Amino acid sequence: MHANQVRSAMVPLEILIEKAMTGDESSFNQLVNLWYKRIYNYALKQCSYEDVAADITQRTFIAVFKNLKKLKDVGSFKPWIYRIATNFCHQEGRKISRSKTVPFTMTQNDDGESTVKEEGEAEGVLFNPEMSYRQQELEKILFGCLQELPKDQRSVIIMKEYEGMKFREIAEILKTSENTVKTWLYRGLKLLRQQLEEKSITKETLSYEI
Amino acid sequence: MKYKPEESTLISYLYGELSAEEQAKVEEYLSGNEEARRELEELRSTLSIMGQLKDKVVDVPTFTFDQSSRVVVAEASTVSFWKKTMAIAASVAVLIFIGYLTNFNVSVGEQGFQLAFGNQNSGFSHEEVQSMITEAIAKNNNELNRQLASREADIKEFAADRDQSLQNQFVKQVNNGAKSEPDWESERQQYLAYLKQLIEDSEAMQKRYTDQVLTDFAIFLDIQRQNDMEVFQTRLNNLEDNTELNSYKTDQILSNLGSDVENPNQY
Repeated sequence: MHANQVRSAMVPLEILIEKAMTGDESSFNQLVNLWYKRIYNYALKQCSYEDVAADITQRTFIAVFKNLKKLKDVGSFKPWIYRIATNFCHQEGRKISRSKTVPFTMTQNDDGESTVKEEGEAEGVLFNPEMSYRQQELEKILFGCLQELPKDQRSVIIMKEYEGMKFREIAEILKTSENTVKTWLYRGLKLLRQQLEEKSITKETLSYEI
Repeated sequence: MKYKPEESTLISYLYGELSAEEQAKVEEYLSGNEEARRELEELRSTLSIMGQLKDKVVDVPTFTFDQSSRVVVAEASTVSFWKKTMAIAASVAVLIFIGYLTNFNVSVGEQGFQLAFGNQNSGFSHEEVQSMITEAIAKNNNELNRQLASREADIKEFAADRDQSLQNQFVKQVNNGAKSEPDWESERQQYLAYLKQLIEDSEAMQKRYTDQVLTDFAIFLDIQRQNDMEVFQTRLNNLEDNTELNSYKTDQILSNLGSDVENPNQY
């Protein structure tokens, strides 16, 4: 979807990948430019820690650079890179659940100031601190809800809702059938609804607050 | 038996991916089932709540790879324990073999600790050493005596020669005493020649000096020109770098714009 938009403005993605396959660093860095934000946000929703997400993203791209030559079909780059990222996320998830002592501090710095800017959040006239604070609190809760899900259901929800993928693509990445993906999505959404109810967040309270 | 759609079918319905026939079936089921309809509605609102989670802006780093160093590291880590052990054992075997070939020998005897290649000689006895020393001293003395004798002969000969030559000189001087007259003309000629030589030398020196100055100046001009060219080149390079940086930034901005998923939440 976004690859199509990019294609018109820059070097076609396929040619970029083919160049990067030959070890061309500048093409590879252009590829990083195209995908870094997507993979980072994907990893962030999977693990909800910014430093871990950045680490996963870097490892993903290093793995991509090392193994790009083995990619047989240039067209299957997208599911391929998401599969690599997913594997790293699940590994990292195991580590985090083993340690269990890491507190959930999402967007707070040491000095308590938020470092992460919201998309479209400008410092101009439209910037509203109270709204930004509520948005942050809501995000913390939503990130927390995602963490509670089993990893496959979480992956499906993130890929469908935030990465805008087709069921076929998700099935390819998770190496399962489309029906299973849909079932996971259904159950994941039900679990999410229960959690949101426990935290008394509904569409009505949200539209009242925001 | 009453129709009850599967969970995956309901999800397909939610995303509008069902065929018309199937959709009609699901709708019929929902119209007769209040609870299922409510549940589906709740899932839909859950989706819209989750849609509040937006993408974070992130700085994209630049990756550089040092191919050679990675290869070296990989190689170092693949040497196994057995390979290492075998290598040490082989080295020891080679050392032993060489020791055998060169007759390497270690012993502790009366003379102390001994390391040797080949057959070892036991040391000399006290008497042998004594006789060797006496022999050497006698030889040395003989040589010294011989040298002294020859020096004495030389000195005598030299003194005689010297005597003779002094006598000859004295006789000559006495003979020449009367006819020593100064030769003005030839001396004047000599001085003129000296003067001419001096002027010629000075001229040559001056010419060399001028030449030197001219070459130095030419070199200086050349260096200055080169410096100017370098400055020019650097400026051009800077311009080129700036242009590249700008195009890179443009690319990054374009890709940032491009990599946003458009409307990921349909609800």
